[in-house]
Amino acid sequence: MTRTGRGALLLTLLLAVAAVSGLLLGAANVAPADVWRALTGQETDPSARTIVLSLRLPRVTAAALTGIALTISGTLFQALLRNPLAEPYLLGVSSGAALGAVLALTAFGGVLGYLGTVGFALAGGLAAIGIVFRVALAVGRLDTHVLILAGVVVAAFFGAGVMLLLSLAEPDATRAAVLWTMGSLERAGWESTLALGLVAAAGGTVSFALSRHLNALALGEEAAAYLGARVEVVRRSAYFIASLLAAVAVSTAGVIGFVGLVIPHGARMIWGSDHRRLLPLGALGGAAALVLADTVARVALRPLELPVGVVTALLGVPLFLVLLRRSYA
Amino acid sequence: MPESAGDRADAAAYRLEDVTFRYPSAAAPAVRGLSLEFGVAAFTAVIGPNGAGKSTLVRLLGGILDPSEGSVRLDGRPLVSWDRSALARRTAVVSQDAPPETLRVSLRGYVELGRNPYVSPWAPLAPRDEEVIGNALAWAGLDHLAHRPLAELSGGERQRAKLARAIAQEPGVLILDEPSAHLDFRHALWIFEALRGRVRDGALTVICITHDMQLASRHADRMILLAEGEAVAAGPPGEVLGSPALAATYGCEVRVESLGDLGHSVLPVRARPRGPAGGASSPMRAL
Repeated sequence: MTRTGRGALLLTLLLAVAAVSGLLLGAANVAPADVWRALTGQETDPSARTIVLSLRLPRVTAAALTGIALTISGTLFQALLRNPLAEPYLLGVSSGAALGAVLALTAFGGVLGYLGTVGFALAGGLAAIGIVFRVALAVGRLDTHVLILAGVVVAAFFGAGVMLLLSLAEPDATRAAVLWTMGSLERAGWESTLALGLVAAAGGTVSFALSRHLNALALGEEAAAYLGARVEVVRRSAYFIASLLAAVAVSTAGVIGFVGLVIPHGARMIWGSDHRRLLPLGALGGAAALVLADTVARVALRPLELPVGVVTALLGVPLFLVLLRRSYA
Repeated sequence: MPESAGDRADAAAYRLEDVTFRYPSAAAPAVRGLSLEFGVAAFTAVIGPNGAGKSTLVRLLGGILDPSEGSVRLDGRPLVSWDRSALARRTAVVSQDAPPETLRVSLRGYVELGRNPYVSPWAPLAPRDEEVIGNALAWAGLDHLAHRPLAELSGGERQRAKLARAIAQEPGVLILDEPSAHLDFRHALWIFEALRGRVRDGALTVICITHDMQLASRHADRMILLAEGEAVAAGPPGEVLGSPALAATYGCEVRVESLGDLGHSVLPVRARPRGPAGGASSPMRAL
């Protein structure tokens, strides 16, 4: 079997193990037999049924899809910017989404509910992208330097908005908002998961369609054009998809760091720079990593739940450093 | 040119008519009033001092830049009307840029990029694509290195890899921007001989920017001397190198010697203290 085939098999197994443990483990004790019966629609204890089908299953699905969205987004940003620091939140998406979510949680209290918060976060993320792209496109073509600077500045502006709201809010609302910004899949339900799934599927498909041009883009924009790429079209579509994926991920799951930066790098170190391998294998890896991290977040100190962004960083960074050291030794 | 345009219309791959190009922020045009023809299955060398507009010419021919005035035609059709991937099947460009060190790709994977204008990302490469890639690697003498990481190859091997990538595009026209820069003379010689071979087989039109006068005069059919965006001399290499325009263009006294079938050698003798006749500024002036 080829190296790529082995990788795909290994990551699929890892994702399967992660998903099974995510369904079996949690704050409440549900016997494996009951989990099985609930999943297969057999007669079982109603509370076990609710826990498995309405809490754990959507949560595992949402974690997998968020991992996929963040990884594809990060892979695209790194391909576009040819910069190792590129990650999904580079263009201010996370700050925009955070402002939207914090606004929903503080100013409107609990009135809006989870879906309302998601909607506000998405609107904030898209607003940030809209401003950044409008500024960057004003020079005629999409200029990378203008794009990055606009992203950083817009992020700072929205970040200041978040702090303003937090400083004025009631303690309860502040706590909810702070927890949201740390990233959590705690309240992911089927509605937001469906939206996430649709965007991830569309984003993954378009990215893969661009994969050969993304490979050429690694040689520079001029070289990619000589190899048949309509560079402006490729860049604009890839930026748009990457930002949209990040916006949808961050609005469902809050700001989960590390995954979108490090999984694409790790995949590139192991399987090389070819996006036809990098995109699917990275997506599998991102899904497995986030499902595992979310399971750990739920059970490590149960019944207390850790922010999943903390877990991804605490577990992932040492692993990544080992890989980095081996890869460049 | 002795031939009238009508006679040779079929034999020109590229035709430039009164092309002027000005970069947005620049005072003077980088290329001005350039009218040139590049014949099918001919090897044309383009020489000229730094800043003469050579790399701008490459970008104009590659369709990266559109002329401010005049027109560039390929196979009789305006270049602006060519679709990007159709153009990439017709013309390959080997630019000066080196592949980035961080690129984690095997030599074969790199040469495979040359098939981009032909293949879809959804299907694996067809046997025919594999064959073209294999032939390109073999032609460049690199088949034994096919699975090595690109970053591990030497400078000479990497330059040949760029050529193999371009040949994998199966182009009718190959444009090269200083392909022998930074290479030792064995690798430089190999590049010119390999290009000459493909031109002789009738398979390729070559347009080669170079500072390597001896190899260019030995292998090219025709030479064009650019100075400050204009073609100041064009014709057989011996004539162009023998013309007084050469010394004037480079702002430098030169000795040109015929080496028989080895071409001509150009020896710079003494930099002139001031710019060339016409008073235009030149990088040589600082000397």
